[in-house]
Amino acid sequence: MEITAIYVTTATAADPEDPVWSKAPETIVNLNKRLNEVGARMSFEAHEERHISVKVIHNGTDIFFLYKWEENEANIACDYPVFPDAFAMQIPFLAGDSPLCMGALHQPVNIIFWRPDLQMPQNVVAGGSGTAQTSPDAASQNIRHSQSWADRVWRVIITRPMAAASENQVSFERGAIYKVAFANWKGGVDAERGGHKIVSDWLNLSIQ
Amino acid sequence: MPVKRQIRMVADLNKCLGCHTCTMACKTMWTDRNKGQMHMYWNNVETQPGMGYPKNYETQGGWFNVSDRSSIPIPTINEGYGAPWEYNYGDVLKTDGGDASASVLTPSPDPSGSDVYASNWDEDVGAGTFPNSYYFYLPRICNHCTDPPCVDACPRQAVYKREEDGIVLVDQTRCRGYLYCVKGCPYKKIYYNREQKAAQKCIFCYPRIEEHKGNFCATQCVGRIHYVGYADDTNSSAYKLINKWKVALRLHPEFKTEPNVFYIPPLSPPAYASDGKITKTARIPVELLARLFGDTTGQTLEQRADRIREIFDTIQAERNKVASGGSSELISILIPHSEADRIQV
Repeated sequence: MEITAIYVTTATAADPEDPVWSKAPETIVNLNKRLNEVGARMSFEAHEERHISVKVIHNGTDIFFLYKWEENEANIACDYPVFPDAFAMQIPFLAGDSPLCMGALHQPVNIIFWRPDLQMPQNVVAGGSGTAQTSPDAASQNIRHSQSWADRVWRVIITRPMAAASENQVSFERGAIYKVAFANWKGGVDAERGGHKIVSDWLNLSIQ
Repeated sequence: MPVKRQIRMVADLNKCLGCHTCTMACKTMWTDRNKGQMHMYWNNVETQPGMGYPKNYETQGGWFNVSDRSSIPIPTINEGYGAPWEYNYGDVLKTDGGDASASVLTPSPDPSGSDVYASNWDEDVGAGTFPNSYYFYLPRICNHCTDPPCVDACPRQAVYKREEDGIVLVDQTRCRGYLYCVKGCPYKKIYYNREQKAAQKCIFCYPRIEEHKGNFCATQCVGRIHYVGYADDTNSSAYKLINKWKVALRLHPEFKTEPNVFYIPPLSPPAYASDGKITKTARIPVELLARLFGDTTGQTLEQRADRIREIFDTIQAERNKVASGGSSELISILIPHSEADRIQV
């Protein structure tokens, strides 16, 4: 399965209702790899599948990701004992596959982590399970977004300059193909967080 | 990871007067920095028998529940810790620009209702009926356990035990607020800061310890109940109370974490018989104390009760020595004259 980031001349696409999105092909990604952490409450079955609608466009300078997925209620608060919904996209820093679970020591990954209670999505780097951290340099925390929840669907647009802001970001170059994987957390009481999540397999992301 | 040294504390419950000065000392020193800390009392003083803080923490379990860790509840702020309410001073106090004639002080969020709670909600309630009612105070900080379940529970290694002194800390940059540590700690002595989205806990005043000063709760204590010292310092008062005189016990050793905060169990006045005469039975039942205090994980409640009777006998025998004009190392330690007598760090 391949996701194509189409080239458009529009300056921006910060609104999911923007007609420019109709030009982008929609890819439905299956998330069916269940991770679980000791101590977390298993609120969903191991064989569960979730589906995320993905559209990607770019204008040569900025790249825009539009994600849509069903969520019966918007879980936004992060407090005892509730956790918010969350979503992440992961891209290896180096060519080829990295281990799906947060990469590895010499196969690091770049993650964009969105959560509705955060002011902005986080640029995260990881080199294996339990090593993920928001990149410390301010330059790489440059990810903008828009989010809305209506009719039981989250619509999230994540935007970033295509050129890496620092060594803690992957650069998106026209004509290149990248590996990408997605993760989803369903919020609620003592619900999914951290390693307790559902993820997709690696997919190809082709930049037109 | 084994530590090179382990710092320990002993609290002599016979001298605790329940004034909460330790709690306030800690609060003003460490948890008065943002709204996310309002519900946190790294040091709290609870009345025993009682519900404790957070509410009923003793029955909520921790990481020792190996068979089903997913069922360990996470406390809630309002019902578990107590709503961190604040008054509308700005509306009422003229010094804050308010109008005293028009307004009344109103707490917000409203702390009334059936689920209302606070860190010392059932203070002095205790148990028993007059004239044999009883209670005692139990000051609690993080136990800086030898086998800390918060460290085990964290999937990110954000919680760690310092090699140099065994103090358990949370790396605020690594923590991502998953609250597994809150579930893991059976003493519920690790808290979540909703503003900073990270776990926070008693740091055993490590910046003070590094300057060879006692913890703030210990140095501010009106009753001078605390003793602080390293486990390998055989000259320290803490060592002598725990290892030499063996009069200090752990809180809930059955939680399998090996706490490094110890307690000298409280003596109590004799109970009255129904005819009004004084009996030889202590008013606080030893069986109740045995449910709280012991040496090791494997002890039975009967063995714990025997140990508590043994401690009471030891203290009484040493008191008798002093009362008859003799001297006693134990009583000298228990009646410290200066901070240096209690704190050897």
